[in-house]
Amino acid sequence: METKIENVSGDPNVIKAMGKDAFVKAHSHLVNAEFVFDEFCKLADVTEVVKPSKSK
Amino acid sequence: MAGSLHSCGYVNNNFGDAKCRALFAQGYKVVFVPYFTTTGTVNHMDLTSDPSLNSAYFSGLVTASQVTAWRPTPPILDFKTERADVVTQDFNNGLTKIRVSDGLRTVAFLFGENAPATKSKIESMNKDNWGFFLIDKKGNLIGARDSGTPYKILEPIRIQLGSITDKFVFPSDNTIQQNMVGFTVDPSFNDADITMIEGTSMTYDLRTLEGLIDADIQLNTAVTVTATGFAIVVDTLQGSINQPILVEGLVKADFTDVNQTTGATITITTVTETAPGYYTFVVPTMTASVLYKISCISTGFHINDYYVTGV
Repeated sequence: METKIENVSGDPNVIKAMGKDAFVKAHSHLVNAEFVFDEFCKLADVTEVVKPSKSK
Repeated sequence: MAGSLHSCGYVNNNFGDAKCRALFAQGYKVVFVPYFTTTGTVNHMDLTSDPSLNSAYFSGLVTASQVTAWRPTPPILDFKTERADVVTQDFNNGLTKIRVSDGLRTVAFLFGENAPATKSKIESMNKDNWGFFLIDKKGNLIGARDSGTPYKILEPIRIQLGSITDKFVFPSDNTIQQNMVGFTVDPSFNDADITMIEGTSMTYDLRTLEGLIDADIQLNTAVTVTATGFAIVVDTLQGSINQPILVEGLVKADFTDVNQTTGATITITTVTETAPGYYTFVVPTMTASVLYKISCISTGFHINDYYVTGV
């Protein structure tokens, strides 16, 4: 899946997995890298949270 | 019964005219094609399966592999083709003149207001065997009949290897900037084999067929290459030095990045179009001194690969 946000094209899942700090550091050419990262994360696949089972 | 010799001079030389004969109009566009396929056969049009001669069919010929793809030109000007006088041998009796061969057929035309870069494109065809089809002003596609299997096969007309020239002409007080193109038809070609596919038999106006736009990926040296990034432009070379005509609107999905040492395809992290036609790449850490091939595919363009050296 590829998306384009503020002229940045990339895969939201790949970007989310990169982490915000690494993304911001690698995208010094962007005016607001943090905003772009957040917007991509909104489009990434939702990670299913598996709750540990409780024993009776 | 007396013997006789085979009568080879009395076959197919009657002159009755069939009705509705195929007639050509003036040249409108030229379609250059590699003359041979990769298997060494002639790069012809095969209509034996009765394909639909529609937009998809012809655009497929333009977007095929560059090894066999059609290269339609823009509309041409002053198209002219002439066959030189027949070569004959005269004999001392002054009465006998015997035909040796046909004279050479030359083709010439102009591209009006065309970029100087066209010269290198045209003359690069001298390095290999090329042929051409002619699209005339009525949309007919003119080529050659295959003398071996003539039914529904249209071959390109073969160009004599090494004969293609392009003269770039500066504009004057009364002439425009232009490229004057000329070449010689291969001496083996027989004008009697010229034939066409009529425009009226197609569901597509062949006169509207356009070629791909060539572009080069070039490093944007204003941005330093790092281990995790570089910047490029995709330039058509049809603009000026300070106002290039760049390919705009490309996205990450249009590009591939391949490590030339391992053959591994690299997952590009992001591509940012920082200005129209200017692209900044963020990639996983590159290995120093390794070449990475950057390729780009975009509809309507043929974009040459570029190699980035890891730092």
